[in-house]
Amino acid sequence: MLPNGYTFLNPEDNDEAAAKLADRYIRVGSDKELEAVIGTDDERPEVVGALFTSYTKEAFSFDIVVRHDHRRKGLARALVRVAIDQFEDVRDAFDKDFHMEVDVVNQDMERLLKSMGFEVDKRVGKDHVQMTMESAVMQALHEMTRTQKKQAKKIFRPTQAFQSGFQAVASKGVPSFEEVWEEVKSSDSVNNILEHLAWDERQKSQFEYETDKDPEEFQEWLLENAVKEEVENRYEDVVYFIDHEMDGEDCWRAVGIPKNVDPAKHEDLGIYWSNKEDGSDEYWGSHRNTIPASTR
Amino acid sequence: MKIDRRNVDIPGTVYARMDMSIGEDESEVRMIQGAKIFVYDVEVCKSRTVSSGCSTIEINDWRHA
Repeated sequence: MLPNGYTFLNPEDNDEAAAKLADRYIRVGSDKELEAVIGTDDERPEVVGALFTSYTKEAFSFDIVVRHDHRRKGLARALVRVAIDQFEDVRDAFDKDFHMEVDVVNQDMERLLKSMGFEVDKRVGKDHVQMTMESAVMQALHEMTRTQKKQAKKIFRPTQAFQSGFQAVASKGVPSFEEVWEEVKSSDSVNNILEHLAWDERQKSQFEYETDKDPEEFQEWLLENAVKEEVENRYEDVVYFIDHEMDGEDCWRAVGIPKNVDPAKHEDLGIYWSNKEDGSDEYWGSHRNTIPASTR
Repeated sequence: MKIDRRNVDIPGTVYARMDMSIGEDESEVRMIQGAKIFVYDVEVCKSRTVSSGCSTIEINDWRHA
């Protein structure tokens, strides 16, 4: 899924623009084909991201480019996901050593790929690494991500302390993702997710056999990354809303007020509002003898 | 009202929207306590479960969060 303001464009119609974009930042191997293109979602879309892929019987490799003024918005992550989907489509045709590989020439991309399960295979220069992901790791990652997502919807709720902590720091700008992640990580929700998920013995043995990794440690690592990915996606959406969509939007809230209070003169309307008209139920609406008033 | 970012508790809004269960549904925008807000109208209903019988009162005036 792409953040607001972007869309996937047809690669066939945008191959020249994508090649031009790639030429500015990376060297794409001549064996690679254009697989996906991201553009701005407007009448005259500009190409701002592209994915190039190729594969041999040993490995599936890919290159990603995102225009510098559109970075840190989740576009690279979206393109990596397209690459992973394509890898999964062809993986069964090859033996178990078939893996993904990518040449990385910036540290942000290296960090992103690590969070998605890739490992550094070889460090070529300070900012140049070759990274890989084994097929078994990929499979495990995807199995766990799916399960985690189901669990997360039921379990993941900030605790009361977690929320009140934010009010204490409420003031200036958008907190960094690192700050948000530190808070989320220390909440009970993540521990609940970890406790609720478990591999059975067969899955553990198979994973250990195929990767030589300790399944317990790996599972924890995997879950933390899967949770982190979910949190990061949501964070990017929220920051986009605040930076690009929020100002000037209509805003509503529903309140319950005592019958003897004139809604036209009710002075203090509270802090919990929504930019969706039906976004919230009447807040703390359990008081008796109240009437609901939807305020715009 | 229309949102003015100077009145918004930005960190509070970020964290409210990080809630995986309700964050997206509620689309919360958290105001700073006591912020001045311009209210257009109030729709008043006699029952919280039945939407009929509601009336809209024009406000067009400043209130507080």
